[in-house]
Amino acid sequence: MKSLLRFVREANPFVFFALTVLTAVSLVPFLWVITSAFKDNTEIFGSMSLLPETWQWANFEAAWLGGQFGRYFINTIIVAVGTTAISVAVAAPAGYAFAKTQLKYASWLFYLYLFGITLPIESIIVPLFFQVKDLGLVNSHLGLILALVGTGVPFGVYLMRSFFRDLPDALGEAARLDGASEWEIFFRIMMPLAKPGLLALGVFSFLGAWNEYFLSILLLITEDTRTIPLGLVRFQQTNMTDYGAMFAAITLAIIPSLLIYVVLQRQFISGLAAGATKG
Amino acid sequence: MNMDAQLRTPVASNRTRRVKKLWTGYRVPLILLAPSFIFYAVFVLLPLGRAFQLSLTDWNGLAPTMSYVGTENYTGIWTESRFLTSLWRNVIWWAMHVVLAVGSGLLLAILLSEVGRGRFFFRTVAFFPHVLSLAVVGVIWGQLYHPLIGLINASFERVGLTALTRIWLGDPEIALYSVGVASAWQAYGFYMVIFLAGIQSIDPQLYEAARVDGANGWQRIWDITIPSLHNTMTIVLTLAFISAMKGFGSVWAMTQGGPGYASELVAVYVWRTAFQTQAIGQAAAAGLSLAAIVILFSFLFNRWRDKVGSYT
Repeated sequence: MKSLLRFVREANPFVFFALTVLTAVSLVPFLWVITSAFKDNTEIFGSMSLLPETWQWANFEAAWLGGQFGRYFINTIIVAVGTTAISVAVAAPAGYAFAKTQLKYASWLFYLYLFGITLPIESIIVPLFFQVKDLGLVNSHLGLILALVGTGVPFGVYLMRSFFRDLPDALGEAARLDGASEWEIFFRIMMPLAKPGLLALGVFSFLGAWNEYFLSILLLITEDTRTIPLGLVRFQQTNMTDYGAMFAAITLAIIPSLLIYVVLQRQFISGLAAGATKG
Repeated sequence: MNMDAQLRTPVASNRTRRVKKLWTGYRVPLILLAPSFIFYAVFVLLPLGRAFQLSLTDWNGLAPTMSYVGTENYTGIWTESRFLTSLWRNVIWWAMHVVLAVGSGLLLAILLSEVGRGRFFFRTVAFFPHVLSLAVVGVIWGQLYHPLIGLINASFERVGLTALTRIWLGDPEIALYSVGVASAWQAYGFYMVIFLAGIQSIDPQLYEAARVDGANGWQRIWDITIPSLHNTMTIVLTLAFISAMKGFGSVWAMTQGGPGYASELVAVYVWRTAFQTQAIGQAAAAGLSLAAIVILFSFLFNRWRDKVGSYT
C-alpha cells in the first residue's frame, strides 16, 4: 500500500491515468457484484449508490438455500484435486522420458502430443461423450476427472518436458556411474529438482479443473454432481427475479477463487506464464 | 483361411521379435510414457478416430444402425449458410479478441514495465478476471448487461445517454459483440502476464543504449520493446486464435448461441447439432472442420513467423 501511494506521487500522469482506467475495467464489475449482494431488490433497481444503505445478509441465505453451494464446493474440490494429482503423476514421467531418455521414434511421438495441444476438444465432444458413456462414467466425477486428465495430458507432458530438459544431464550420468538404477535417478534425483515444474503444472491443472465448464456440462448431469460453474449458471437460469440472491450467489462462487488467488498468486502468474511460454 | 495363416505366421513372429527388441532396449522410457499415452489415446486419439468415422455416417445418436453416406456431411455443412455464418462469427470474435484482449494486454504490460512501483498491485488486479471460470464470467456479465438492473445501462442513463442503452444479450444485432467483450475481459490479464514475461527477458542494455542515444519513451517502445517481443507475439497470437476459434464457454453461459443463431459460434453449432438436433454425423463433420482450420492455421502462422524471424 505504501509503495502504491509512492507510485501515485511519482508516476507519469499519462501512465497513471491509463493504468487506472485499465485496472478499473477489471475491478469495477467485482465491486458492483459484491456490493449489490448486500442490497435488497428495491435498492438494486432504484439507486446507483455504491454501498448499500443497510447491509442485507438475507440474500446470502437465499442463495445458499436456493442453490446447493456447499455441495458444489465439495464437488469442485473433488474434481480439481483429482485432476491435478493424476495429471501431474501421469505427465511428469512422460515429460522426463522425452527430455532425458533415448527412445526410438520419440520425436514422432512428441509431435503426436503437440498435435493434441492444438486440437480443440470442442471438435471431438460427440465421440468423447460416447467414450465416457461406454466406460460407464457419465454423470460421475471420476468420468470428468479422467476425461480432463486425458485431454490435458498433451500440454502437461509438453510443459514437464521443457522443465526436465533444463536440468543438467551430468547429474544423471554421475548417479549412473555410482550405480544408481534408472528409476532411482528419476525418483530420487530428477523429480525433486523438477519441483518448480511440478508446481507450475499443478497450479495450471488445478485452476483449469476448478473452472472447467465445457466437459462438465457434457458429463455432469444431475444436481448432486454439479460443480460451482455449473451450479452458478443453473442458479441464474432458475432465479430470474431475485436479483439480490443472484449477486450473493456470484459472490459465493467468486470467494474461493479469490482466496486461492490471493494466497497463491505468484505461483498462479508464474505457472501460467511458464505454461504459455516454456518450450 | 489356411493359406492366410501360413502367410501371416512369419510376418507375425518377425513383428514380435521387433517389439521384443524395442521393449528390452527402451523399457524405462516406455514405462514412463505408457500412462500418459493411455490417457491420451482413450480420451483424445480414439474419439478423434471415431469422430472421423461418425462424420461419414448419418447416425442420429440413438438408432442401433447407421449407414455410411460418404462425404455428404462435409459438403452439406460447407454449403449450409448456418454453418458458414457461425464460422464467420468466429472470425469476428477473433478480431475482437486480438484488438480488445491482446491489445489491452500489450498496452498494460508496456505501461507496467514503465513504472517501478505499484506494478504488483496493478498486475494482481488486472489478472484476477482470468482466474475465474468462463461460466462465472458469463454470469457476471449477464448481470452487467441486464436491461433493467445492469450496471452498463444504468450508467448510460445516469449520465444522460439513454439513447445508448441496449438489450445487450437479447438484441440479435449486438449479442455476439456483447459476449465477445465479456470474453476479452476474462482474457486480457492473461496476455498481459505473457507480455510482461517477454518484456522482462529483453536485454536492459538495449534500453540503456537507446537512452544514451536520446530516444524518448515512444521510440523505446516502438523500436525496442515491440520488435523484441516477436516470439512472444507469435505465442500470444497463436493462443488468441485458438481461443477465439473455440469460445464455447462464454457463449453458452450467456446466450446459449441465441437469440436464434445470433451468437452461435462453430463450437456452439457442433453442440446444438449433436445434442439438440441429434445430427451426429453432421456435428462430427463440423467439429473436425474446425479442428482442421485451427491446426492448419496455427502451423502455417508459426512457420511464417519463424521465417520472418526475430529481430533480436
